[in-house]
Amino acid sequence: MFQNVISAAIRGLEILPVHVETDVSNGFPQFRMVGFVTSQVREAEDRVRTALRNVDIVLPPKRITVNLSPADVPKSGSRFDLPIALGILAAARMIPPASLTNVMAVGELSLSGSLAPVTGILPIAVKAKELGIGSLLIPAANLREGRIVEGLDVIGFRDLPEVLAFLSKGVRPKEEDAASLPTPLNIYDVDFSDIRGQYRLKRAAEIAAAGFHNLLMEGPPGAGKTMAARRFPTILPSLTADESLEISQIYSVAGLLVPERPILGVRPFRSPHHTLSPAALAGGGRIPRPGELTLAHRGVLFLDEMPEFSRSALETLRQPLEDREIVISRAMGTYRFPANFLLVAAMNPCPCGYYPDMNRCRCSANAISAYRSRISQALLDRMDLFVAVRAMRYEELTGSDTAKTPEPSARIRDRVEKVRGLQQARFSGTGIRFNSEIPASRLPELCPIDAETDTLLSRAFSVLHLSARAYHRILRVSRTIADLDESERIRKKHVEEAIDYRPRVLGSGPDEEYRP
Amino acid sequence: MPEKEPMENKPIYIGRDSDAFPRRLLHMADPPKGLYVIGTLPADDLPSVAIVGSRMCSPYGRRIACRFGMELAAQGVQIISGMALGIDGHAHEGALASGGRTFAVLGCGADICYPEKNRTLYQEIPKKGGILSEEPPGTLPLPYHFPKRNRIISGLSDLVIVVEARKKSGSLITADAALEQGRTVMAVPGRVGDALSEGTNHLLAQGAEIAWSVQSVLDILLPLHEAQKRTKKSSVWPSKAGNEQLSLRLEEENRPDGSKDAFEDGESRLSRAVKSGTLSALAADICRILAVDDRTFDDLAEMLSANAGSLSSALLELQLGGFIEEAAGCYTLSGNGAR
Repeated sequence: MFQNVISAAIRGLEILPVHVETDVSNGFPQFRMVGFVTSQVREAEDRVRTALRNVDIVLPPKRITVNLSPADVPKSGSRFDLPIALGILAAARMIPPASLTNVMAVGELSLSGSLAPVTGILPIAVKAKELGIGSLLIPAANLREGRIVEGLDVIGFRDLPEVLAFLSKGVRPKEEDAASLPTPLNIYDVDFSDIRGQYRLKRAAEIAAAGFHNLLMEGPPGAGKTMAARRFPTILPSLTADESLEISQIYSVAGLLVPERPILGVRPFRSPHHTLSPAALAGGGRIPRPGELTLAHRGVLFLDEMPEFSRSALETLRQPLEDREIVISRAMGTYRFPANFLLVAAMNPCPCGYYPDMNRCRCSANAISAYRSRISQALLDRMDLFVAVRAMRYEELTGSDTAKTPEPSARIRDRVEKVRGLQQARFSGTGIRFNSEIPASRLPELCPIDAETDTLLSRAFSVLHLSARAYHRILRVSRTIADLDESERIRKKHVEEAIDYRPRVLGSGPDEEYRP
Repeated sequence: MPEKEPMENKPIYIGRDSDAFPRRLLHMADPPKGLYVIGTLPADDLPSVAIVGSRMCSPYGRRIACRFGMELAAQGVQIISGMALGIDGHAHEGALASGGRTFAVLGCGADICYPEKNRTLYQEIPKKGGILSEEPPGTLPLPYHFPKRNRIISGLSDLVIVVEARKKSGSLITADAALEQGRTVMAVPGRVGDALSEGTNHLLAQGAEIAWSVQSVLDILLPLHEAQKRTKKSSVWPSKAGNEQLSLRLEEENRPDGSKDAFEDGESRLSRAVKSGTLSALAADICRILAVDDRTFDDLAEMLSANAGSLSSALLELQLGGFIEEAAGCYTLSGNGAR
C-alpha cells in the first residue's frame, strides 16, 4: 500500500517541499530507496529499521520502496528519518493514513527510537506556513526554533512512541517549560567608552554604522584597530523583526542557532581568521552551504590583517560588495546566497607594521609595495571610509591627560538609530535600507549638492586625483554625515569631511603617494 | 628580473677620449673607460648638483628632495642622481617638474630600467637629460655595481647634497667619493633621534656644509663653479653675463617681496590666506598649532576641543589649499619645505 508524507529539503538557503512516497507491497522482503539521495539519506534505512525495532515495532516482511520526490533535487542530511519511518508505518497501516494529511515531518532518528535535532527548522517552519501546512512535526529539541513562526501548529516530540500516540490517538506530548517565545538578547560586554582618544576612528565608526558604509583602518600593531572593531556591533542600528527572521533562517540552515535562544537579536559580527579559503568565505561544498559572507548578512564582516588573506579570498569579496549577494555555480545548479554586509577591515601599513615611523620600520620599499598591492585597487575602491590609526601614547592610554570620559556606545547608538529613522522615511518603498545602498542613478535626486559644494568637489578631484567611482562614494558618505548633522541639505562641510575619509593606500609603494 | 628595453632605447657609447666625454670625470682618480648614454650627457659648462639619499625616505625627505630638485633645476642647475627609489627618484621628479635638466646614473646597463617602479622617470629623463651607465648594455643590477656607480654621480657634480641617510647608508659612500674627488658635500639637517637623519647629521658634524635652503646651496655652488670656470677656461656658461643673469633670476623668482628665503613661501602664502579671511577660524587655529610641530588628529581635537567632524572638514580645506599635508594620520605644515 502507498503513503505520501511531506517533508522538506534544503537547496542553498531555499526550502523545497519533498514528498516521501512509501510503498509496502508483497514480494521478496527488501528496502529500496530512490530519488537522488546522498549517502546521509541512504543511511536512514538502518536508523529507521533499528529505531522501529527498539520501540517494539516489527516491520512486516514485505517489499518496501521509498521515493523522495521531486527526484531531480539532491537531498542530503538526516532530517528525512522521521518522514520515512512514518511513511512505512502508514503504508503498512500501523498508523491511520489520514492522520498524515496536511502534516509536514522532519527529524533524525537515533537507534533507540528517540528524535534528534536537525538544522534548518526555522526556514522549514516559514515554508510550511507558506504552503498552508496544518501541523509541523519536529524533534522536541528544535521546538523553540519552530515556535518562532506564528500561525502554525508546531509539535515537538522526544521519541517515536510520542509521535505514534499523537498520530493514532491524538495525544499531544507533554511540553516541559511550555517553550515560551525567546526574547532577543542584545547585551555586550564591551563598550566604546573603553577607547580613549581615537576621535577620528570613533567618528568614522559612527558614520559607518549609521549609513552602513565599509570601513578600512590602517595603523601599527597595538594601535586599537581590533579593539575598535570588536566594539563596532555595540553601535549598529538594531535589527527589525523582518531582518531578524531573515538572518535567523540563514543561521538555522548553517546549524549555528543556539537551541536556548534560536533567534538572532543582534546583527551578526563575523571575524574569520585570515587563513580561510575562498570557499569558506563564499560558501562551499557540492551542495553549497552558506559561507562567512552570507553569515555576515545584515551585519558586519571584519577582516583583521586584511593583506594576510589570500588574494583569491579577497577577490571573492568584490562581487558581493557590488551586488550584495553571492552566486555560486555547481554542476547541479546555481545557488544564490544573500551577502549584504558591512565590511570592516584592518591592516598594517607594512609587513612589520611601523611604516612610516622610520625609526622603527625596517621594511624595504619593495616589501611595503608588495604588501600593499595584495589589496587590489578594485577592492580599495569599495571602501567608503579610510582611517589611519595612530599608536596611543601612555598618557592617552591611562587617560591622565584628560578628565573627559569617552562617550559610551549607547549615546553613539542613539544618534545612529536617529539616522536610521531618517533613512527609513527617505527610502520607504524603494527596497533601499541604508545610504550606502543608494544606486548611482538615484544619487542626483537623493544627494543633491549646491554650486559651492560642486566647486569643492571638482577642485578635490584635480588636487587629490580621485577616481570616478570615488565621486559616488563621497556623495553617499556625505548624505550620512548630513543626516548625522540632522541637515536635510548636504552642505560643503559634510562633503569636505566625506572627502577626508578617502582611501590613502594606493595599493602601491610609498613613492607613488607624491606627485610634484 | 628587469626586462630589456626596446631597441630604440639603445644606448650610445662615449669613450673617455671622446670630446663629448664629461670633463668633470677626467679629474677622478679612476675615471670610467667610457659611458653608455640614452639622451644627452651633462654639459661641462653648466653647474651640476647631485642629490642623493635613502631609498626609504620620510615624507620630510621626500618634500626636500623634490623641492631642491625643482628649484635648482629651475635655476639652470643640472640635477644628477641615481634614479633609485626614495630621495633619488624624488630629486629627478622635482627637476622634471620644473622642466630642468636631470641625469640618472644607473648601476646596471643603461638599457635596463631599474628599479622597475621608476619606469616613468626612465622614460622622461632622456627627454630632458640622460640615462648614463658605465656598464655595457644588458648588465644586471648587481649589488657591487652601486658603489662604483656612486663615484660617477659625485664625479659629475660640482656639489653633492645628501638629503636623508641612515647611519650605514649607500649615500654616505657617495659623500666619501665626493670628498675624495674634492667635491663639496652638503647635508640636509634633520631632527636628532630620527634614524633617517643620523647619517646626515653625522656628515654635518664632520664638517659638511648645511643645506638648509635652496639659496644656501646656490651661495656655495656659484663661487665653486666660478672657480672651476677659471681652471677649465671654459667659454660658454659661467661667463660673467651668465652668472649675473642667474643671480638676477634668483632675485626675481625667489624673493618676491624682497625677503629672506624661498622656504618661507608656503608660510607667507598661509599668513596671507589667514589675513584675508579665506580660511575658516578653525583652519587658521590648526595652522597656528602645526607651525610649532607636527600633530596627530587626536592632538588637534584635544587642543582645539573641536569635534571630529568639523576638524576633518577643516583639515581637508587646508589640504586642498596645499597648506598642510598628511601622512599616516600625522599632519604637517607644507610651508616647512614643500610647494
